[in-house]
Order: sequence, then C-alpha cells, then structure tokens
Amino acid sequence: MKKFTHAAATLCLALSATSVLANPLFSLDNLERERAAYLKSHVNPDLTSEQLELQRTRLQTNLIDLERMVIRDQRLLNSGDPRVTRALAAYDTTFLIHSAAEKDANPFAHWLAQVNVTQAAIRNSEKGVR
Amino acid sequence: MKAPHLLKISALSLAMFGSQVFATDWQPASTDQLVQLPANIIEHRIEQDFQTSPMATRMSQLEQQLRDKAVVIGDLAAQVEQLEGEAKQAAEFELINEKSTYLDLMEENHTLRMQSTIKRRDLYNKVLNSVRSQSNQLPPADVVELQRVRQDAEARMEQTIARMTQTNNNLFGNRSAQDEQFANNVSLIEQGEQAIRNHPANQSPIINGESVTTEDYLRSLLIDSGKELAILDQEALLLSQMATLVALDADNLKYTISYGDNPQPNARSTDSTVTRSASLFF
Repeated sequence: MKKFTHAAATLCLALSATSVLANPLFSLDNLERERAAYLKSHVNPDLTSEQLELQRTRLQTNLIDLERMVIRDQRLLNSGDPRVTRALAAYDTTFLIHSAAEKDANPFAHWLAQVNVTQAAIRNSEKGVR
Repeated sequence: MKAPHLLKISALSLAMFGSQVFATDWQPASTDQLVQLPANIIEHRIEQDFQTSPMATRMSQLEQQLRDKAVVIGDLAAQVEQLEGEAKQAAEFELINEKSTYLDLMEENHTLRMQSTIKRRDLYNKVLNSVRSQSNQLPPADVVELQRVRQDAEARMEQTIARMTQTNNNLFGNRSAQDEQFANNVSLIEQGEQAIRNHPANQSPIINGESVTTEDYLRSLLIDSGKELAILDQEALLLSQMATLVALDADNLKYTISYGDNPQPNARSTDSTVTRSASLFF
C-alpha cells in the first residue's frame, strides 16, 4: 500500500512537473509565428508567382488549423497572460483567415485594413524620419 | 545545615531556566509537494509530518513529565502544610526546586509549541503564495469576461466554417488529421475535467458547512495559526509571572533560613544610659 501511494505520488508529481514546464501559450505562439510568415510571404520578392501561390495556400491551411486550435485551447485562458486577453479581443487580426473569409476578403488586404493601411493612407504618406 | 541550603538556593536561582538540549526539529513537507495536494488534505499532511517528527515526540514527553511533576508538587505542598521547623524548610526547599524544574519543562514545551506554530504559519503562507502564483492571476470577473469573449469568437468562427463548407471552399472543407485529432481531444479533455471536478477526492474544502476555495481555506488556516500565536504570547507572560513567584518564594526561604520567621529586626533599645543615669545625679 505504501509503495502504491509512493508510486501514485511520484506519477502525480511527474505529470504536474510536465504541465508546469509546458508553455501554456504554445498554440498562440505558433499561430503568431505562422501568421507572420504568411504576411511576410506577400512582400517576398525572391519567389515566382507560382511558388508564392503554393506557399500562401500552405500557410493559409496551417493558419486555419492553428486558429481553430487557439480558440479551443483552454490552457490559454488558464494562463492569465494579458497576451491572451488581447488576442481574443482582436478577433479580426488574431483569427485572420476566418475573419477574412467571413467578410469575403483577401486575408492580406483584410490585415492591412485592420492595421489602417489603406491606399489613401499610403498615397498621403511622406518619406521622413518619425 | 543553613549554609548548604543557601548554596543550593543560589544555584537554583541561577539555573532557574537552564534546560537540556534535545533533538527537537521538525522538517515539514516542501511547499511544492503541498501545493499538489487537495486543500483539505494539506492540513492533514502537515499534521502527519509533525506527529512523526522529533519535535512532536519531545513535546509529548514533556507533557507526560509535566503531569508527573504536577502530582509531585501537589504532594509536597500538602506536606509543607503539615510540617514544622527545619523539616518544613527542607520540604519548602524541595517544593521550590520541583516548581523550578516544572517551569523549565513548561518553558521548553512552550518554546516548542511556539516554534511549531511559527513553522506552520510560514508554511501556510508559502503554500498560499504558491497557490496564488500558480492559479489564474486575473480577477474572477475578468476570467468570466474572457470566457465570454472566447465563446463569442468561437461562435463567430463556427459560423464562418459552416458557410465556407456550404460553398465548398477547399481550404475550409479539408480539415487536417491533426485538426480533427485536436478537436476530438478537446471533447475528451472536457469530459476528463468534468470527471476531475466531480471526483470525491477533489471536493472543495469546507469551513463551517460552507464550500470554499483553496485560497480561502489556506487563509483561514493562516488566521488560526495567528490566533494560536497570540495565545502563546499570553502564555509566555503567564509563565514569566509564575517564574517570578518561584524566585520570590526562593528569596523568602533564603531570608527565613538566614533571619528566622520574624521579618522585623529586633527593636533597638532607645533606653539611653545617660538618661538612665540622670536620676543618680538629680
């Protein structure tokens, strides 16, 4: 009985140690990294249009999966991290692909609209030091 | 007879609070281990560790010795009432000696009780801080608001998925194997969480019939140990008063042996020789 208790306690400790070590923001980190790669792909001059299309399709598919994972990840809510609060509050940028699909918009154009980069804003912009 | 008595009493006064050294330590379980336990088990675990410690063993020895000493003191006090003269003084000396030993034991017991209560208080404090740092830092109202935002976002996403699936959008229609596995696991995890919540070993601790959170429970343990420390402080004052009384008894006995029962000095004669002789001349 004592051995059993000891084994159970060791198991509990090992499991809790694993969960403590795991990063609770892992899914959100993955999503943000993938979204950054997707946005960067639009300003990459080294790829041909076919390569770009293939890359963007792959990245969008990944993003759809990751966005669903983030919305279902209870560990994010339990983390108490302010990044999670901000991410959930900004649905249109966090869940970019789903939000763009909801509005029948191109995800990249949708992103630019969300961060207030419009054609008029670009046209009115001036070169200089901020 | 008087000289050895005086010597012994002086030695007694000097060694009033001298105590022997015993192995009386208590190493409670670490905070990390305690935090993993259900709240209502934390106190049991701390108490169990304490009961098997050298400190608890020494305290129960002391309590037995105190009970034995109290009987001896009672018998001696009864004897003192019945005796007379030097036999009474010898019994009184023995009584003071026993009272002094009794106070030594009381002091040691009190010190150990104080140490164990302080250790408990510090331990509860550490566990409480650890529980706070491990649990969600957001206030409960913010957690509820965050849950609501997440549910709204999920509902919005589900609507988009349903619409995209209807329009045969390839990107949204083809779910990856990992996504399906993740969705399945989410529902399994929810079932697991429900089972954990309902498990008898994971029931909320109860104070006065009211179900409370781990943090509330630990706070109440902290408050209890604070009250216990306040009582121990009062007991320390009582102990010092008892020691003062024994020291006064010892002084009184010393003066009685030296100067007898009559505390008043012999009245000096005011009969002046000159005055007495005056009649011889006048």
